Amino acid sequence: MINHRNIKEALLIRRVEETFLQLFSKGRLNGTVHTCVGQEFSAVAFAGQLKKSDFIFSNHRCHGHYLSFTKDCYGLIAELMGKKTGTSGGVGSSQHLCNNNFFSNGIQGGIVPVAAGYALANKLQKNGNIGVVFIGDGTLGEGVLYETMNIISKWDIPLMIVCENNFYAQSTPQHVNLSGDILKRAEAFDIKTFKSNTWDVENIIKNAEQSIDYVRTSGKPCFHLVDTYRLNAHSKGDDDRDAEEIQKYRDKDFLIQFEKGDKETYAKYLVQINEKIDSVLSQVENDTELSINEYYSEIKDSETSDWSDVKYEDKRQVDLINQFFIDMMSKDEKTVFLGEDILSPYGGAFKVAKNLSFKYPERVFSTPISEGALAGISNGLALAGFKPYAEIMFGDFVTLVMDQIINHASKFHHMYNGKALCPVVLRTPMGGKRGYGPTHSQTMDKFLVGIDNITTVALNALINPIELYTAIHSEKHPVIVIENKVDYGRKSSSLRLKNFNIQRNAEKYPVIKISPYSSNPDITIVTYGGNAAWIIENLNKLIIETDRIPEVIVLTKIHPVDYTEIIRSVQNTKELYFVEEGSKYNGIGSEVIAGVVEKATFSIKAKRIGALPVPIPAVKSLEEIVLPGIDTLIQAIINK
Amino acid sequence: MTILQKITVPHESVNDQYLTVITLCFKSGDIVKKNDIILELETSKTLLTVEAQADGFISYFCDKGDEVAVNDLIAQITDEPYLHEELLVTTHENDKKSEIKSEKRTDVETIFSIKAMEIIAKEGIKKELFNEFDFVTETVVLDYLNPGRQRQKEKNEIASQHSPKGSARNDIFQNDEKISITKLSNAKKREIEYLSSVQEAGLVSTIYIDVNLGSFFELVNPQLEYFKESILPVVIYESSRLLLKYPLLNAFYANGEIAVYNNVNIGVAIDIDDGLKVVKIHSTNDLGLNSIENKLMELVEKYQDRKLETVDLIDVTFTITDLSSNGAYFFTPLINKNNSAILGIANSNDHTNNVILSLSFDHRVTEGKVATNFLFELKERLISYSLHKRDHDIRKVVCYKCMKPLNDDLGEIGFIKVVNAQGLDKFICDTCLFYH
Repeated sequence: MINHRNIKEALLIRRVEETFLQLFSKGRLNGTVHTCVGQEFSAVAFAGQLKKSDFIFSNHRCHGHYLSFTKDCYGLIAELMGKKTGTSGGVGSSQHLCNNNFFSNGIQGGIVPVAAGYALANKLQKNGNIGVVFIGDGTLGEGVLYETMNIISKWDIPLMIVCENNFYAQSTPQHVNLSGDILKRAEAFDIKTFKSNTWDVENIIKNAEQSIDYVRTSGKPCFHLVDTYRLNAHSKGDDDRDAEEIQKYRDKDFLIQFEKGDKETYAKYLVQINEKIDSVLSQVENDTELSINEYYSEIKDSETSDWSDVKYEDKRQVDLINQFFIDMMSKDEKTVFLGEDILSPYGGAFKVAKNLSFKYPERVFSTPISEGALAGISNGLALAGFKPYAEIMFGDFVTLVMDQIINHASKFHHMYNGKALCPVVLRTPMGGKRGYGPTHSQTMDKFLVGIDNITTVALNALINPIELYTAIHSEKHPVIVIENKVDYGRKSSSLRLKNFNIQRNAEKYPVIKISPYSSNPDITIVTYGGNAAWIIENLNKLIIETDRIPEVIVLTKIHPVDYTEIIRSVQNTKELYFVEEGSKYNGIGSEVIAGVVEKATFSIKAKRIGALPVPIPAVKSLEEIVLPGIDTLIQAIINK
Repeated sequence: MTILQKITVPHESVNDQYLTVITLCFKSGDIVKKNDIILELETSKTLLTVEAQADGFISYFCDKGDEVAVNDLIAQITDEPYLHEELLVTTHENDKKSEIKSEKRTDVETIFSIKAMEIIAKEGIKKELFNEFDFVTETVVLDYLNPGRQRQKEKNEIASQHSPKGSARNDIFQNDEKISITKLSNAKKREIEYLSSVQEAGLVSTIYIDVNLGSFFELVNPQLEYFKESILPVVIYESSRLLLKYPLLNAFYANGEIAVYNNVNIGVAIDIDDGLKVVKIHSTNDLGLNSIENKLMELVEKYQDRKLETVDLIDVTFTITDLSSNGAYFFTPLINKNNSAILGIANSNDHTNNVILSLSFDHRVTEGKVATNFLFELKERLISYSLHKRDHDIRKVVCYKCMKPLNDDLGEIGFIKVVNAQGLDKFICDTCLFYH
């Protein structure tokens, strides 16, 4: 027997989506709509049978999952109509919904590790909650799915992957792109599998319940394959499927059959549902849209004038960073450390995690070589209220996590209209001068700045990393931290200068100012990160050879840049040199110089100094030429 | 040697990029005590004094009469006599160069650039001369060799900025025997610069209006403490309210754009034998009549005691000049820099309580119709004071919006009783009711 509550829920989903298609045709919806017409019972079976405290991550085809889990018809309709009362304030629309423990995102595959992180948070809290992540058969092509299946199986994470197999990836039939067997994929990772379809409704509801129970009681993941068929196009007007094939599935469709079998009941339900939708629509009509001030606020430059001498530490930087984590994991139980090869006694490639896994084995996770999943799991932990620190072993590998940075961490807060916070921290050692060659030496910083809602901090040899990490720990939004391989071994006490005052301001991410003891500087050098040390060590040489007296400004926050001190210095010198280790084209120097030119009321001369635009060679003599050093800087100043 | 205080030229007013050094109170090398006045600077509007913030040795880097640019270092106080200054003096007197050595901070070493070393070698100068420096570049050595070089360079820059059309003098003064020349004071030069700003554009027009005050003073005098028989406080009061309705008269023209002030700060021109100054009544439209009168009195006293501060003189948004007590019958006021209008008050000399109001306005910002409407409305407000005499006590009633007490409201309507959003009985003045 099928509970009529389920039938009504499925019918509501279908009617809401049909309403969306009508509104779309009338030009009332901005963007696009992916409907799940024909697939509704997958939503009803899984999303409808979870507890409120469980969670769901869904994809672009998420309306059914949303309605079944949240019952929030108003929030969904208002969202698609672009209203402030929508569940994501109209920012997210069809593919980006958020309501309590429901999240959806339009990126294929990327949601799977995020869901795994969210489930890991449940496991760490031992609260008995589980989660479901919905993917389609098209998503089986994404690599991060397999990274995550490996991890959830290895770590016993209570997450169910529901694969809604509608036999098409957008408009491409499955046989074109999919090899092998779907369930065997999960079985290869030792994940328990279930199989259902949306035409045998009684069976899918029973199977869903069983698989939910399995995950909850065993604390292990499972993979549930649901064969289904969408009766409408992937999105709008992109359907080249055979009409006969579609008709075959229409004939199998439960709701259509139910209408034929029991016209009266169907009609009664339909009237009730239509009334509900009409009533919501008429209210939503009058709702307002989000204003830009509610959505976005500009970042202002600092006005600080509090300067103090830099405090020198007689400890190596890496030991200070390690000290921060030892202390913070003890102080804050939500602190989690993830990375590759970080278990002690090895303690990570650069020993930042030394002894951490001995002290806090339950919150230090050494991941497989799966950067995408590592970052995604960290994002999920952060969404669930943890403070994850994800270590990417070499800066060069950040290319593998860009999807998680840009399409997930960066966007969650805004696209869910402030309902979600993702205070993830991504740390990575950057830079060359160690002879590691092309793929372990490049400075990727320029790819890690200018990302919306993400602060990018670069450690340097002058500011105690414990101070910076303490500030980072309190951030509510994502932070990327660039560490420097050469600086790890440096003590700031080695950077005292006789003829200069080295001061820092009182900002959370301080700006450091290195000014001549009494002379008036005539050039300004702006830099950050690992460059600060070699510039400071060579300042006298620079003056002797160039006949110019510099003021050096070291930024610790490279996005967003605080221009106040740069402008003040350049106003005096009118000449600006920006030094970065990455290649200079479209680099951080380009951005900072553009920012200065926009803000300055005077004209300046400026020059970028960076690496040559070739992969970093391992051979020492060439590496020294390719990467910027004091001679590059001196030549740049002399030839200005 | 440690620098205890660096004295740079303050940026007191947006209009003053250069200030004049009026007095140096000490000689370089003198000992000064904390709170001693060490020098005086003249801005376009006032005198600034600079005080020592520490005990120490003073060194000046400017001379009396110099025009100095904002942010220039003009003096410093150090814990020991400043060698650089001595060095410049003594090297010209005799050849005791090598003796000039004073203790320097032990950890600062002097670094010479290659270019500096080349000149030092070529000129045969002793390196020790520069012991006090942290860094010695080519510029430092050249400045040593030719001490006037730097000062001269700056003066040339100032001169070139200040005299755009240089040859005019020759044309006018070809025959110097027939005339005697007095140099313009810096204050006068600034006044010219200041008034040129708007008038130079030539798009200034003036509108005049005659106001019969009737029994104005009978009613107003009892309210006034200092300025009895003067229309000025009431004109300031009413203008400040009216300007909210006429924002373009509380504005200025700037590079093709119109800047409208958010505040009304009325400036009153005063000249009691010590130079023309425009003193500011800050946020005039928030002040009652008596507060305006008190503030004006305070400023006049400060003027007479020569104690006006910069803050009393800057950010004037609209100016009023009252020549009625001087017997002026009819005059055209000149608009101040960064203003779009000025109101003049003159007294028709026939003892009939008539005054002539004149409003000069910048045609780039507004036009005659606006100025005329402003004047007419001001006239009506002034006349209204003479229409009715009050014959009963004014209770302690305050306008709930502008907090003006009924005592200060001498308008025709008085206060109106209203019910606010909380359902409470309140009083509102007619200005707030009709013009906000």
